[in-house]
Amino acid sequence: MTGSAHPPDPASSTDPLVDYLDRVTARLPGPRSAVRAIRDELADGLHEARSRHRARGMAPDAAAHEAVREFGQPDVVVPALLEDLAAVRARRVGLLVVASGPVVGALWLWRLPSTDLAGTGRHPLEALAGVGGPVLAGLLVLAIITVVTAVVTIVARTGIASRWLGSHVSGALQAARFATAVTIAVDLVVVATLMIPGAADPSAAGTGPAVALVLAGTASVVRLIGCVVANHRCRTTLHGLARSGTG
Amino acid sequence: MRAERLKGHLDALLLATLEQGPQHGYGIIRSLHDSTDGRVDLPTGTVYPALHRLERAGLVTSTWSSHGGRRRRTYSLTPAGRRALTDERSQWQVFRDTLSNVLEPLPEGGTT
Repeated sequence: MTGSAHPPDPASSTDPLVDYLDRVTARLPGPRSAVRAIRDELADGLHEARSRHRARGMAPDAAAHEAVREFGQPDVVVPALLEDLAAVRARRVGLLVVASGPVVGALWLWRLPSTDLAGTGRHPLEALAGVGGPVLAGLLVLAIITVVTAVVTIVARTGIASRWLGSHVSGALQAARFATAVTIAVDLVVVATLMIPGAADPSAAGTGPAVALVLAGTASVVRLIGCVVANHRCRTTLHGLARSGTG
Repeated sequence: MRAERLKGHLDALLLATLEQGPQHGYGIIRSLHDSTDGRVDLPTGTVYPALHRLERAGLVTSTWSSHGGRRRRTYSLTPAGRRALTDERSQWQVFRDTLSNVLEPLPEGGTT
């Protein structure tokens, strides 16, 4: 199992329930809020189980151990929960890509009208037209279609449509990785072709164009970093699923 | 009952249990256990992911509340879940009738 971002509570007592929860959640490398929700739900169930055994006359310690036994060994429970968290991760990555696209795109479109390529008097797109602008535009459209298709796949394999298509968490994670990879490529191209020349643009000396460039460039860089991190986490989760034999 | 025999039927069992009314995860598992006289006895921790999957599929919905100082997640059937359960019952009826025709023991001295 990969290293977890959810180490056991250092203040945990010898309470078998807390120990069990710590052992399970330590092996769940999913989004923090999702892991917390799982822990809370398991904790509620464990307490109910312990109360039921206490009501049947078991001693407190025996009731706690019986509740833990009833819930199953972490080696059995964790793989099932891994798949659960993987679906959450895939959907959040899809949301990241879909939500950031229009925002980043709008910021660059806002920036473009004020861009003069390095004092040449030429708009970046004019310069690009000479080196295959239509091709680049076509590739951008293809990238958008590809990303949207990947996100639709994520939703279809983990959401309502999974009733008919079947749940396929690994497929959703792979689609998430693909969507982030395409987004990273687009951001790299945009930053290289528009941000760097734009920064050398004398017409950007004014406050307005400079602010626009900084905002657009920052948005692209932030999304790029976010996608790199998301891509890595999806890869790690896929490996975890493969090792546990689920997904 | 061996766990592998339940594979593919767990969703239907969970939906049918929720048909009786909203319940939290452990309550659902105990209801399932009790209604089958203990024949369905799965590790409790493995049932929660199945409930989460049903929620993502829109067949159940859940709400959080406070119970005895703890957070409790309670599940209930959605209209889509009720339709899916009806569909599962129809399919189960066909499955059961089909297998019964083949698996019913032959009468003594009888031939096929």
